[in-house]
Amino acid sequence: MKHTLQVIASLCLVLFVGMLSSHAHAQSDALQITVAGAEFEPIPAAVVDFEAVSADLAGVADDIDTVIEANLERSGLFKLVSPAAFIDRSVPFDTTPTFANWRTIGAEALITGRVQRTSDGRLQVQYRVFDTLAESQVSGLQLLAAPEDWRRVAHKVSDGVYAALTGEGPYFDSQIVFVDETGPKGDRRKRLAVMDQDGANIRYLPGADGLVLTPRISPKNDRVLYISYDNGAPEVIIQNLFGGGRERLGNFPGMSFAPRFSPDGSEVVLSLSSGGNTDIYALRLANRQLRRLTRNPGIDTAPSYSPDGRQLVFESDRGGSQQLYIMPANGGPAQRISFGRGRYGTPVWSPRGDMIAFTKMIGGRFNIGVMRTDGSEERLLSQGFLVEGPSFSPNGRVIAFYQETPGQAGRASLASIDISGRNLRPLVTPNAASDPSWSALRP
Amino acid sequence: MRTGATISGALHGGLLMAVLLDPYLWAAEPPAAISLAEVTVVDGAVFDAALSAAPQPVTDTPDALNPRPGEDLPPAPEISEPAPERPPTEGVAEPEPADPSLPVLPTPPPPTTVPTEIARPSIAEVPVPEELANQAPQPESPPATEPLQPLASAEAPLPGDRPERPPEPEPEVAEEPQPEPEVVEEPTPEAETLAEVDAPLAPAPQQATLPIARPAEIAAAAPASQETRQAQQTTEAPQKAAPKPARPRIAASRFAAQVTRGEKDALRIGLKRYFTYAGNRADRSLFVRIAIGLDPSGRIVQGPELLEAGGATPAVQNALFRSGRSALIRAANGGEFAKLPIEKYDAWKVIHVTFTPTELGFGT
Repeated sequence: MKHTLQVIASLCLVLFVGMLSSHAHAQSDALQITVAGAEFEPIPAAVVDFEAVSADLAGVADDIDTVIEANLERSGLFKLVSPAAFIDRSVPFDTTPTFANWRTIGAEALITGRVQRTSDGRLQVQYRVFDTLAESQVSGLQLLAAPEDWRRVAHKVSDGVYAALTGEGPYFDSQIVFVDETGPKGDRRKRLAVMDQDGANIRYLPGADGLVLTPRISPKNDRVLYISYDNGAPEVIIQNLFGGGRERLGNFPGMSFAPRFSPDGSEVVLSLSSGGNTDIYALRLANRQLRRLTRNPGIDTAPSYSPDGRQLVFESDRGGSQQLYIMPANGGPAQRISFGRGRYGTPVWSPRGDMIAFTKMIGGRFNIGVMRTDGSEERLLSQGFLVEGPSFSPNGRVIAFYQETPGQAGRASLASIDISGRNLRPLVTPNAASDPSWSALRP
Repeated sequence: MRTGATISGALHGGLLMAVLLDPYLWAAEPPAAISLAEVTVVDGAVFDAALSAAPQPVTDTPDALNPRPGEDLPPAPEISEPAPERPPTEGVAEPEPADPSLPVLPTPPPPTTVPTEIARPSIAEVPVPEELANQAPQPESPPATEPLQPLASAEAPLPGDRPERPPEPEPEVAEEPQPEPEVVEEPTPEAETLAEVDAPLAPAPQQATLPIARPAEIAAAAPASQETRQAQQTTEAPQKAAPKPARPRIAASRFAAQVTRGEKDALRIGLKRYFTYAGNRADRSLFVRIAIGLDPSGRIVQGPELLEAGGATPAVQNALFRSGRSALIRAANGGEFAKLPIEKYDAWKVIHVTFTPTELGFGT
């Protein structure tokens, strides 16, 4: 009898626990669905003409509109709804949009703005970003600037819209330093130029002409490093980006290559060649003290800092072929990260820290690619007869590089591409151009 | 033989007891936390009343305070003083005299607050923190303070009623008086920088309520008092980690017919057709989980509501949430949910959809 009761008790317990479990499951779970893998599709957005408070600002408002629309469209992440489709031709800045009218035409984001002049003559630009599905404002800012800086204001507005809707960091208010090339292929004149990321406001740096290579803009956007062959041998020059003051950086024996600023701008890392060996050095700008970071019979060059300044990625043929390596910023054991076929070069660390862009030579063709910092997930983005010199946008989402067409009439030009491999676009310059260096976001 | 009969009797007895005692066993369970219903389905008047009764975060656009669409607001007062110039940036020597100074001020949420904000000579001088203290902790307050009808009684027929499909789902889902799913901007690095540069950006943190703070609040809301909820949100808002998911009050009946794997796969494929995303995919752990409540016709009547988010940054999570929400709304408009078997409505009247932008995301 006792045994029977034990059996009954056990069974009841099992039953109870089972019911408890099933009940808990039923209670907590709605229908669960996981959707993995989104198609890429630009965000459909509508930019309403910015409202000019006074008639004399109508032209400025139009110009600002134009720059914003061009920025968003060029990013590849937005699909702008044609104004011809607008149900509401305008949206007064201080009124709530009729969201249904914007949803009807497929706009999931709506950008409105207003331009006016302050009592002290400055330009005041306000904008709002609306989510038409949520019927809410996503972002809204007000900017003040000198009237002649309307273009920068437009870039700032573009950045605000872009960041609010994509979650990415901004990059429109940035510049690109590059080598402007004129003349025939065998006798090209190369001079340094700087322009806004959209190709506007191009200007040439005084004195930086003749034969210049590999310009690198400083993290604070105030100086530029480059290699000059003015005196027949490669010299590292540091030049003020505004005003033209320049000086030779050190008096190094042998050849010097590939200088690049450290993330805090206090040091320059470069490769120096002496006695047939090329190694990587760091030069402290304050006292010009030089530290040797690699000691290897191979060619170590093209160093680039990680954003936190703790590591360097560089190219080396120490393993028998040209590959990418990572080492501590103060030197030390290097770890190879590239293992694919072909040769890898000109690595550059993403400002986000998660990727490294590089040039890869394989099968007689050049490629621009990206990989994770551990070498995984290598992805080739663009291929050509000669594509080289990748440089990340400030948000790490876009890569600028240069490409050259073959033949005597071959011309170098700049291009940009999204790190996803989409949205390959030319960066229009007045002349042939090479060696882009994308600046940090302007303050 | 006797033992077998005893076991059989015990099993049957236990089953009968369990069934009989079930209501008493589970009735004591407290009602689930704030449900999907409580934060979504509400008619316009109730919602307006709730919004006007409770302070809102800056980024919200409380209907009660907003003009109707197209309605003009009073003109902005004259700017009495110019907004402060951005102080010269240290260390960046830009010799160009035309180097712009770009003090950036937050445009206040639309629309009535705009003139007020702009009229301020300096937003930094405005007692923003007090407003923040009042507003930030209560993004959920309207639905929380206003007792809302549960989904089943509000719009949908009773589960046992074998509902018939309404003739046509409305094309404009968003016309429903849905509460805003709190698409609150997390300051981007740029926004933070601007805020640092420009003191007037003090209100920025008001807009920085993380979307993931909301599900945490929802999860904790039921047993907590309003004060407790506010405290929780205040402390949890800056956290990046995904909180516990909300537990919907309206749960599928345990006796309801289950949606088969094939039906789920069909829905997943259908939803994926609408799932597009242009943002950052670098972080493979990025995901958002969104809840929706459906009526028998497959129309969204609750949500989309963010339950949980993880990976990347809150700004990226927000972007993904917008994509997921858009996918759900477009899928509903495209009739994807109407394809679900109506006799199993109880099993799909509340759906939690996890969106991951990469194929490497975890499966269901």
